[in-house]
Amino acid sequence: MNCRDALRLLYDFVDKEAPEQDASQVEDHLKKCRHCSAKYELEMKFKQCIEQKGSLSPDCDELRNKIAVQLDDIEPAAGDIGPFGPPF
Amino acid sequence: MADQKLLEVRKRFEHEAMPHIDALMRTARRMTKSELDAEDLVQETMLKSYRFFDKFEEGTNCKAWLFKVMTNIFINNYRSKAKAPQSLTFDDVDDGFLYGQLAKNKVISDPETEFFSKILDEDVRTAIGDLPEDFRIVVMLSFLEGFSYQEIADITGLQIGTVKSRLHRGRKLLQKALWDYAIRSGFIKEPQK
Repeated sequence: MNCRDALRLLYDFVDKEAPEQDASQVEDHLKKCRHCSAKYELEMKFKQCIEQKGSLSPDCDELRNKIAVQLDDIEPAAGDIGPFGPPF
Repeated sequence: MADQKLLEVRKRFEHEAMPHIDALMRTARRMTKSELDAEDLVQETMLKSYRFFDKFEEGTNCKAWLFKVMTNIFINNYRSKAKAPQSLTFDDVDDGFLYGQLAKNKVISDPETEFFSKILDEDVRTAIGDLPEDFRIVVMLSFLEGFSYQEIADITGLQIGTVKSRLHRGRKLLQKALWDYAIRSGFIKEPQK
């Protein structure tokens, strides 16, 4: 694998979407190429940074209770699609 | 519906769907940019999902199914009709933007680790919140909720290629935003032109 192919697969690899065979070829290339491995490392750190710092866990207890109460008044469809059609 | 059957559906819904309220709310806040609208959106999503829970195939990904219901409600009812598709200045951000900037910046010894350790949670959240809606939703579903490209395509109704290109552009915009924060807060000196 050359640098161009390795960089083409950059985001697929970082997002764990690259097919296994491609991923192992990328790994082989990264062991040999400092330039590409530096780019990969940066993108992985970037992704990690967004994942770890971007996620704010809301406190939804009140909403959860509110929804649970409303479910009592609803009868789920029993296999038909209902008068208004499916939701999507 | 017979009481026994109703009780079973309710139990299954509480077990499989209700635990995802936190994740739905997290995304709803960013979709609507309003706490009240987000609560309404999640509420509507849960009630509709419950009503049509027989459409959910047991054993498939319930979280993805709920997100699909929510995304549809959002697109149909919440997204401002007046808002034209945003055309953006993302094209002036190069691929691997951050890599290029950090490579030029030779002041610090381990630029990447240092850079990311100084970025604040708040900066990342603001940067995500400031993304144009089309990119923001895809970025959230991928980075924060961990959905695969295929799952995001199913949830949003987009082609997988569109999901990838929006994610790609979203990444570039986020990198640019984080770089700008770094310069504004002074831990990176703007390179001399």
